[in-house]
Amino acid sequence: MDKKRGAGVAARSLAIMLLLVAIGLVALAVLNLQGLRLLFGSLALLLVGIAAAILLQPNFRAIYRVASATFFEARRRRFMNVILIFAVILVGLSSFFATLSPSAELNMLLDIGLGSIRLCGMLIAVFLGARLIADEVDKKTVDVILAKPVRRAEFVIGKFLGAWITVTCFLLVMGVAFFIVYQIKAPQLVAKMQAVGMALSLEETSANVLKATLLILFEMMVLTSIAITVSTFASWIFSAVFAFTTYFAGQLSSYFHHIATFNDKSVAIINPSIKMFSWVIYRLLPHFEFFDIREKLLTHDPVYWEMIGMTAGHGVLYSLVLVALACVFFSYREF
Amino acid sequence: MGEIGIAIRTEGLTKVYRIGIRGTHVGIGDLTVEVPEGEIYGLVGPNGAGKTTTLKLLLGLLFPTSGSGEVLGLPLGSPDYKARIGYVPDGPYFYDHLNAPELLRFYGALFGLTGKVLEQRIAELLELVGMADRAHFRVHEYSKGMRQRVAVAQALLNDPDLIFLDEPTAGLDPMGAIQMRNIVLDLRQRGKTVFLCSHLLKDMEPMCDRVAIVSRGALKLTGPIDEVLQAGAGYRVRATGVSPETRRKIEAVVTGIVEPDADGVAVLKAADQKRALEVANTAAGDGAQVLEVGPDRRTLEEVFIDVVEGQAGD
Amino acid sequence: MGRRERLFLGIFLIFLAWIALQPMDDWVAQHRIIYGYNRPTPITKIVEFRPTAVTGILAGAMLGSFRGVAANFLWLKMQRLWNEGQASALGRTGEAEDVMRTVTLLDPHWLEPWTFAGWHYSYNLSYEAEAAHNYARQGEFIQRGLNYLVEGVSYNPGTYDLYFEVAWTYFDKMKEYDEAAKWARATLTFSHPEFIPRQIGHAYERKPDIPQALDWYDYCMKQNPADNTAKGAILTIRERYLPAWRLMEQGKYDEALKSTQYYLNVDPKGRIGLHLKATIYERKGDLQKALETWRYAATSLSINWYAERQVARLSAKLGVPAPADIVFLPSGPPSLRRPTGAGGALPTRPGQ
Repeated sequence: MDKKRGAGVAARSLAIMLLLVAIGLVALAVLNLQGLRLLFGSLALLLVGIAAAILLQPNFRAIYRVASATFFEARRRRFMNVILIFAVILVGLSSFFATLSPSAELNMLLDIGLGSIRLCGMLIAVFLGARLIADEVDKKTVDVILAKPVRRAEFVIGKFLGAWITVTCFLLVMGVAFFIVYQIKAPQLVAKMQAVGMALSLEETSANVLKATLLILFEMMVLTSIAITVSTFASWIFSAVFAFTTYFAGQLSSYFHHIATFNDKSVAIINPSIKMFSWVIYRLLPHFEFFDIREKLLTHDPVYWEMIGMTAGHGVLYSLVLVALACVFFSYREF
Repeated sequence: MGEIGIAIRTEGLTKVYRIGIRGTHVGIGDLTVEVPEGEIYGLVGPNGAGKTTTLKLLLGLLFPTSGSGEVLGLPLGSPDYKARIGYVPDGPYFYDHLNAPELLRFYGALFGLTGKVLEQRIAELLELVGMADRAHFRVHEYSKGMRQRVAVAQALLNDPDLIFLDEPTAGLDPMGAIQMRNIVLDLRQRGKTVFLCSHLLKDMEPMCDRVAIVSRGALKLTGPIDEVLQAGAGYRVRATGVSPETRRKIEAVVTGIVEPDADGVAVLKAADQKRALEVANTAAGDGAQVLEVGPDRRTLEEVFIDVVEGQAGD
Repeated sequence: MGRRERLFLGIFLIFLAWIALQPMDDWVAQHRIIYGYNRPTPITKIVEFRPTAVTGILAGAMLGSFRGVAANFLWLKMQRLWNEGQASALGRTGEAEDVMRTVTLLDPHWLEPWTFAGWHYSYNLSYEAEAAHNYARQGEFIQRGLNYLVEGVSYNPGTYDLYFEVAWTYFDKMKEYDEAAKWARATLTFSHPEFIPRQIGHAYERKPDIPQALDWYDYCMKQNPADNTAKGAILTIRERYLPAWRLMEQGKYDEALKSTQYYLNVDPKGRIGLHLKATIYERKGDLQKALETWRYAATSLSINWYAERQVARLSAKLGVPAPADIVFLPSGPPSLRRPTGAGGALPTRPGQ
């Protein structure tokens, strides 16, 4: 018993040391020492993560069970099926616009197809994320689970993973539906465009479609984590509204950045206070634009895996920070 | 755990809810109780008395405003004792789309149970609560009684040392209530500690070894059930056919007479055993039929009403 | 540590993690800009634009991928306005312009709205202004159409379409042959239709710059020996204008004029002949004669703003007021535009 306690104290001191180092690293990142803020920031994140794992010693089995229960339960929610059917219909509709030039028609196909996937994925992510924990609390099922040896953080993480896996499955179904439509419709359009001398290949555009769908997946991860985080302390309606607002505002994040760094003195509307405000908003908002590669889809340029990895990694880290916040909030909630 | 074997101990446990910005409501105030191991402990009181608040404090679902407590020797809210307790919630809600074995598999996994051990345990428990033949029903098709049984089964998955039951008999038909009582008594038989919360005093009386009466967030009375029901009550004689003549004879001895009920049974109360026997003999000598001579055990309901009325007089 | 303290510690740690995340955020944002993944952010355009369109653009931007779809629906609206005649220069509501602007900002990679907007201003609206004899307005419309097309090029620099639209508008509407040739040459970097190099030849021919024109027609013949248009053009130029050009380059101006006049006698209003004649006079140093020739070219040929600009240029050079019947259609920045109603000193194009 004493030995165990000794080990616990040692682990705790190690975690606290790591956290102190992390604080130092963040300070270095803020000061941008040697221009290495990315390195310092990433190291700090890593250390905070390790410290959290040492302090909490999560029970992965419990997380897994909560996640899988969430997944199996979520599939039974009726509104999800409605959204899915709606999405598949929309994706199917994308092939009915035939009055335009081949290049405009291809773009339309991509826009409507991927746009529908994104829109429906967003609806599912928001409603699922917002309602999961709220419903458990309303139905009091959370009482029984928390009376079991499951930490509240484990419960939240399990819920988040379950929600994300559900969203992923729905995106996969929609993605496959669109990919089939694309493979039916795109070859002729691409052939027509090649005939007038445009440089593009079917393989590359198809790969781009898959990559775009992959990025939507990570976008929805961030959105789910927002909805879940807010729902740990607010009603599900509030968190759904909040998540929607954040999503739409996040699409505009580069506008805020643009205003914050705007230097044309002739435009009087943009004064220092507006710039300051924009900067804060830019820093606070998740940058949902990052997950959009429409520019490359429309110009049929290859999308590099490095870019996908970078964006996905950023999305995962952003979600983790949010979910950590959700864990903290939820740990202090009373039922 | 101390030598005395105390399963739950609270000291000045208080929970104050905030209502709006300034308003407060005392959920439970200054609760100091000890629950010995191996007993059935009943926390009784009307709705809104603070029973569920107390239970949730003990389960770590709520955080105390002040005071402290221990469950199985560990501080309140510690995740470590949760592996050794079971909880049967009031009006239990579960994931509706699962059937009983699926539900139990999910909860079992949360205890870290797996594979054959878990399957065997699930089969045993379904047998115990009498759900083995209806196991394939989905939860949303269950009656209230069936839900309650599954709730008990999930609480026993980890073979807990301490079981919390919130209103275990509420909404059950008489047969269901009796079955529930048998399950609870069986748990004590197996050396478990049971903590019950209920407002159904008639159901609690035959189960509990020890009760605590709470009302309006305050502990009113606590002790072993026999002491609680008998405290200062004297003896009684139950008899039929008590004539007015007999009444006159015993007038000086009895402390009170309860008029005959529909069956003609009158209750003659006396201060102690000797006087009670004297009353019984007199009555029998006059031709009355004496049904019972014994301690005047009040019902829990009567005690409770006394307590609450006493409070009203405060 | 109490509950509250632990809550604050947790929030503090997450705040820390959030700060640590910012460099990565900037890193991704930077890479998106470098590799061209970021959406075009026409914020300055928004600032200078009408509030109604700003709402549309912001809403569209929020829609993410659905911007293209939104643009499509707006475009349908545009077509309705067009069919209802609401897109006309007279009695305009401004709605059509707003819609066009919004569509191009919403989906700047969609070429059709850019082309359409350019064409709508330079042709439809400018024609209406011309029919109403409001030439200043006409010039404004053409310039606006060109501005649209040039902006479109900035969003779509990787395909020939809009470069050529600019070139054609300069050639056919603005009659600015050097600019037309310059923009048409830009398309050659990309895969392009066969007629574009020929178009460059046409522009130089009209300017005229006979050697350049011949070079481009030769280029066309090399690309496609069966190009009969280029072949015909080469034969015509060699026969009619090349001798005069060579004589001019040798300084034999009078002989050159004589050679030019030979064909002008047959076709007194030959555009290339007149332009060549004026050019020879100018090289000779006889600016007065050059001015007269340009003026003849400007007034006798239907819509010859190129000649008109030359008249204006030479008038300024000679220090005489430009003739009142000359409709000077400017190109270049708005500050150089001639105010409506003539009079005053005529502006010149910088660099000419």
